[in-house]
Amino acid sequence: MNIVDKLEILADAAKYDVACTSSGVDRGARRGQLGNALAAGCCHSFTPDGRCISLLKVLMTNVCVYDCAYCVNRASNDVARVAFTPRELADLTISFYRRNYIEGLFVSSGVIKSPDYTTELMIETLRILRDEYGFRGYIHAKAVPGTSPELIDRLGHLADRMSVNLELPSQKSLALLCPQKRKQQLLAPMRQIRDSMAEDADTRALMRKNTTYYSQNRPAKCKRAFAPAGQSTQMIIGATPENDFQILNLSAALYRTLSLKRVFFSAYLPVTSDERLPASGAVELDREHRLYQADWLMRFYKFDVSEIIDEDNPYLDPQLDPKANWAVNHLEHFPVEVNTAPLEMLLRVPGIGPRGARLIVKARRTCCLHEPELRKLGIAYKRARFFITCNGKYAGTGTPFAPGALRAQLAAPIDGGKHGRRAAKQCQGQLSLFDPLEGQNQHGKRIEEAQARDALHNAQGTSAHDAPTNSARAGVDDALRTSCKASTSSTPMTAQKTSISSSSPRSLPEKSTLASQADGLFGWQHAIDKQKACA
Amino acid sequence: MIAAEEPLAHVAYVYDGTPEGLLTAVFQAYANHEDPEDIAQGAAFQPRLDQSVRTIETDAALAERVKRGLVRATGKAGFNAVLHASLSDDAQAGSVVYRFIRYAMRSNANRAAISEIAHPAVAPLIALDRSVMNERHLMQQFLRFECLKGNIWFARCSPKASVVPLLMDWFSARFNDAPFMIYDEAHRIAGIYDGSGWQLVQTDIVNLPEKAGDEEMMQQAWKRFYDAVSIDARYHPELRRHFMPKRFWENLPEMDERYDTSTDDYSLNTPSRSKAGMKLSSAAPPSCQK
Repeated sequence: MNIVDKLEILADAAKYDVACTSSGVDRGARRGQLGNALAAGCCHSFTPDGRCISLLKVLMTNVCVYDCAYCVNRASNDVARVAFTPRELADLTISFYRRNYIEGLFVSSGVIKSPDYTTELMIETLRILRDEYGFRGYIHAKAVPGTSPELIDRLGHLADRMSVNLELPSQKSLALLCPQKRKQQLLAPMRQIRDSMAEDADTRALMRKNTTYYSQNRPAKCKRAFAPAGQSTQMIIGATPENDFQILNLSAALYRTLSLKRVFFSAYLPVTSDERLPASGAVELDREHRLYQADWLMRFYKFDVSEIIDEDNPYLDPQLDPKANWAVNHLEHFPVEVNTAPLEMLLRVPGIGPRGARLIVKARRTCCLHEPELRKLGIAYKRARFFITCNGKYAGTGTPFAPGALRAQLAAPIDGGKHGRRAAKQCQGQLSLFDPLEGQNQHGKRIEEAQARDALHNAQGTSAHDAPTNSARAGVDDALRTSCKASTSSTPMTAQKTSISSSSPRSLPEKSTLASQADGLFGWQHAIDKQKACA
Repeated sequence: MIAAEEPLAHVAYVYDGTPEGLLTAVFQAYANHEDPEDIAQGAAFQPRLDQSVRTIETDAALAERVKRGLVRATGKAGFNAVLHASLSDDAQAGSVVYRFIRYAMRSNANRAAISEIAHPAVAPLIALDRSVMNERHLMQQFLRFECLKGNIWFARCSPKASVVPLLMDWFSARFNDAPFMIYDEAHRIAGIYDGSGWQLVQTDIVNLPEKAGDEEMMQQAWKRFYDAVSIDARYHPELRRHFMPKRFWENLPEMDERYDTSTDDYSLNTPSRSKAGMKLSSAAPPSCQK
């Protein structure tokens, strides 16, 4: 079998590994050696599904002694089994690197013979790259669970980033789907990597500061750092019944205790048939998207996990991103004055990201910021205007400063219709996870139908909050109102609300009691107010 | 040619498109006590009504003086922003740079002119700087080298800004033991690295040796790798086009239809689209008999 065929099989087998980042280490080029690394990373290509290719992501071999239920390489699966020799893989990496196809190598492996034997093959590949070719590019190596600590140590000194796959978000699920892997087997190498990195950092700090007088005890200067780009992990979402609350708390704990750089989520894709796995074909891409948004809030926006999600609502809102969700539920902190607010507060404003917040802090030293300046700095002003004042002026007028109304303005469904080849079917299946939303989804579709029937539009966009696309941002006309009634009359409370909407607009006491009931239901209160105004 | 001693009220300067030319034009504006309404590049410049045009002869010594003054006034960062902006293809680039230099060199200026990022004279320069550096990063991502006979590496590109000078340091450090050449088809500039140092050549004609023996095989290997790592259930071509715009595709071997070997397994779902997702399949069903 020639090397291109091998590459195809082993790349195909590795494609379900999520991490393909080349970030975290800044290493300049050196004369006579090949390559360098950029702290921000560099993506060299993008697959038809929009994921980046920055590393040559392959398995050493897809031979595996384990039989994990979800894995395409499980021992009982009938696929072609091949293996790279270390020399072949190293040569291929160099050839691709020279053509600027890749930023480095991502090497993982099925377990051939034993974890130690597998790791030795990986170490040999990395040694050829680093020592013989003088390769200074990026290398991401997977630690195989059950490898002896000495080999992990050697691997870590050759690689830039190490990772151990946590596979599933709970021990119970792990026991169910990968009976041969133990929790301890996974956590032991993760702890070891953390400790080695800390030890390495300490030694280097001491050397830099020159605080030791015992020069003979200095470590050899040419020794490579241990995993300078840190460690990461990944887990599969949706194969087992864990909810978002558990998953996010787990990843927060991983960041805290094991000082990981990244936790990757991978929406479960059915690649093998097994009675322990969910049978539906739905891929929870929207859920994965929301989890990543929450993950970003923890890593770049200084959010605590308890602010993002709580036990009473264990799933993230599919209609509203977690940051906007926090903002509309904590209106007591808003609006903030952009010209004086501290950085941490700016980071909490929907529409202002880390870059925008830093630019605001920089720009306001020399001038007073108003709308045009903010737009020039690249702030998503359309979202941010509800939560900020510019020199005392509030620009979000026209919308009541209340959770329901703001929720309606900010709701931004993920463009799930574009995700996945069989997207339309999958998204419906996915939304059925969140029971209260099922009716709303139908409701949104009815709105669209009504829209198609007659093109009567009023100026106020009020129903975007519960419609699946922006195109359904329709005014409240008669057709809409009847469709609202038709779709919501199943529950007594909502039926009551729609009947109120057609009654006299002067019934204030009723309105206040209704407002408290309705606010939780995705800004329906707002829609009702608008209907009254129209009436 | 207009007499130099008479300052003109409505005047446009035309320079040759190089950063040196632009800095010379800025120098001449000060020397002539004029405030040009436009500083534009190329002979294609069309003057406004009642506007006279000065053609600026590029003078490296004058450009050097402007550079020194600029570094003194607003620091290295300010000069770098000017340099990057002047490599842009934007028609307004000359005027934007000129407005910024006027602002930075004013008598009461502090050194932080470049950090007044919301100021109307500075913000457009920052925007240009950012767009040029973004283009440079896109080139770092999507430039593809191929091996020619004699172990020479060659890459071609057509970027939206003249970024080859900004790329040469990066690639010559990275691939420091092999000579290579990057040819910019849009601006007709070749950056040539000979193994020790690099230089720029303005040329229309590039004669290349043949490809090395294993080049085709490597491109095909890369293409097959690319096809293998795609997950069909997550198919999302809009996202790919967002990250990897179509204008780069012509130089990417992974998007090259010639290397498409296995389209048949895909044709089950969508018969009209090949794996790269860009061309319609030419194989019409044989049912169209008359």
